[in-house]
Amino acid sequence: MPAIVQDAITIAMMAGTGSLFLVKDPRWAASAPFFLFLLGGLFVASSALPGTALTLALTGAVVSSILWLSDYGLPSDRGQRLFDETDWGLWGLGAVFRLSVLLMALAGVYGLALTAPFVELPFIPNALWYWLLAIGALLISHPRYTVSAGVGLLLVHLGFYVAFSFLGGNSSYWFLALHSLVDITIALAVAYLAVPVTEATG
Amino acid sequence: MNHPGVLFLAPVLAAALLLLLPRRIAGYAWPPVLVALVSLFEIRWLLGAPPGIAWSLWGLELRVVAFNRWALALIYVVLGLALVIHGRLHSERGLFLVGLTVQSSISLALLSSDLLVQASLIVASAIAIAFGVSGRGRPAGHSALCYLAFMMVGGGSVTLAFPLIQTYALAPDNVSLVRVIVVLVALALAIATAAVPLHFWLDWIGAHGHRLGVTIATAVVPTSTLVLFIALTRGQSWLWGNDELVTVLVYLGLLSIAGGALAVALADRPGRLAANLLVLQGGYILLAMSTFSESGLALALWQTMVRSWGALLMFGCLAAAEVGQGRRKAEKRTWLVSGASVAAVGFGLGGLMALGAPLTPGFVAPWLVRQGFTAMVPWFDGLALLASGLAYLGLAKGFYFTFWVPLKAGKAITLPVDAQVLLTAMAAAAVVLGLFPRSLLEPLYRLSVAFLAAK
Repeated sequence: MPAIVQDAITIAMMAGTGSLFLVKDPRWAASAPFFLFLLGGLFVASSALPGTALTLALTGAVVSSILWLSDYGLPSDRGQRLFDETDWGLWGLGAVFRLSVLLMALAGVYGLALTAPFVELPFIPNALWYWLLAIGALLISHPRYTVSAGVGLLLVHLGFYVAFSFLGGNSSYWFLALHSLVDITIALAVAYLAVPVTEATG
Repeated sequence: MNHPGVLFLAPVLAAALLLLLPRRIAGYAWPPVLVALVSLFEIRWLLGAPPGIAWSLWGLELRVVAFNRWALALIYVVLGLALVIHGRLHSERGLFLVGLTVQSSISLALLSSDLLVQASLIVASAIAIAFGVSGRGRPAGHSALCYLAFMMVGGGSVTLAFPLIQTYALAPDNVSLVRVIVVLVALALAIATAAVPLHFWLDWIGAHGHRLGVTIATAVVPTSTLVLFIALTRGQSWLWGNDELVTVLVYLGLLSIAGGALAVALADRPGRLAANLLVLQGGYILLAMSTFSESGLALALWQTMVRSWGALLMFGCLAAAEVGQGRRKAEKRTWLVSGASVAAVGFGLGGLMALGAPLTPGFVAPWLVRQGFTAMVPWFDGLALLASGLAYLGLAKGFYFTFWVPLKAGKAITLPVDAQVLLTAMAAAAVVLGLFPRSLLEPLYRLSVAFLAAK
């Protein structure tokens, strides 16, 4: 893959994942996996099995559909949702502040990829992996919706797959299928958790 | 029927049957019977399977060896008993579906010769378990999310170790690469066994999660990850007994014993107390494993088995107490003993097992580990004694408030007779195993010797 295409995909993925922390609309969070998995598949295509990009794109489509259904398929007045969906913590501090947090995270990831690269990973995949882990951890620890926590889990999983592919992991179609199965199961689990619940019955 | 694929297919077929049944039928007593039959069939198949023969399932090589036979038998027994007991207490069809899905995927995982596929299937099983953990409350949902996050990190780290191990084979002088591999492999084992400071998932699901989900989570993922860890490290002579790996496991083990005991003493609810007792017990698994010897391996397997049994007893009895107290009918004395006595004795025994009290099966591993570690870590005896003292205090406090006070206040616990019989039988099995530990410890030792000699 030409370096410029790889750079463009990396920038698009970083911007796309970063936007998950800026945009409050849950529909954006639910749609993101499709685009991110498509881009992630293209990114690893040169070092992974043939058909990986298509498999990841299809997985992303299924995952996004499940997350969309979990957002809109259920009435919200039947109980309490897993998260309050209010502007708490960093979410209450305004878009400019959240953008500055993202820029600081970007600077941190850039510095870490330069000074402490993971084993022998090239710079671009290394920076992307660190970035996916950072944004995933941020979304899991600081979600506004159940869906955004789930997208955080999916980003962490995608990050591990990017690093695995560029480290030259001898993967098989069984592994690729199971990777997609894990993503879809995460989406199903998150959709289940997004069902409004009644308090103190667990 | 001779193909090990039946171990994967039988639970899938049972789950499909359960889904197709009308809800009014599936809610009654026969789903536990179906699960018990599937578990018995699978155990029977495993015991009769010829070892070492390779089968193919859609291109995936499956093989029954002594090691995965032991692990699968343990998982089938614990899963089957947990599903039957909790199914009788909660009468929810979803629980059976979760259990059967886990049973199916973990069978394929442990039989697979491809360790990467094995790791992925363990992660898939962990995600399926999250459905069982989540229950129907908000804190339970949060704890399930936390469990998912930890399992993703554990699964991801072990997955990354595979290409690095292949890289190391090409550049055996790369010391920093070994260090990264050690960290990744130890991280996966530490998360699965809930070693301090990576134990928060167990603490949270123990406090808030559904009791069945917690039981399955503490039995299935740690056991299968331990088998994966042993197979992965044993396959690489430079990793088996690596000094840095030993050091990391010893420190994690000591931290788990100290941290687990402290958390038991400070526990604010019985589920958290039971979970942290399992954290403490996990410390001895890591210490035993850190010796990388036949006896250490046998003790790690023994402790894993005892830990699963303790989880089954403690969380089964807690669920019995919680569900049984909520029933409207007055307590009916059966031909056995009262439901309250069964739940209280079972929980107390499970707790004593977990903290390693003498004459229980939980005593064996801490005692033997202590003999090996006193020379290496001079303050180990002091730490173990202090940890035991704290854990006894915590268990006594938890027992007093969970069982003693409600019973004194006249709150009855009504349990189905079959659940009472099962809980009593499990407690009796624990007592027998505590009195005659050699009956199982010696076969495990022979298994470890044969496994290490084979490579």
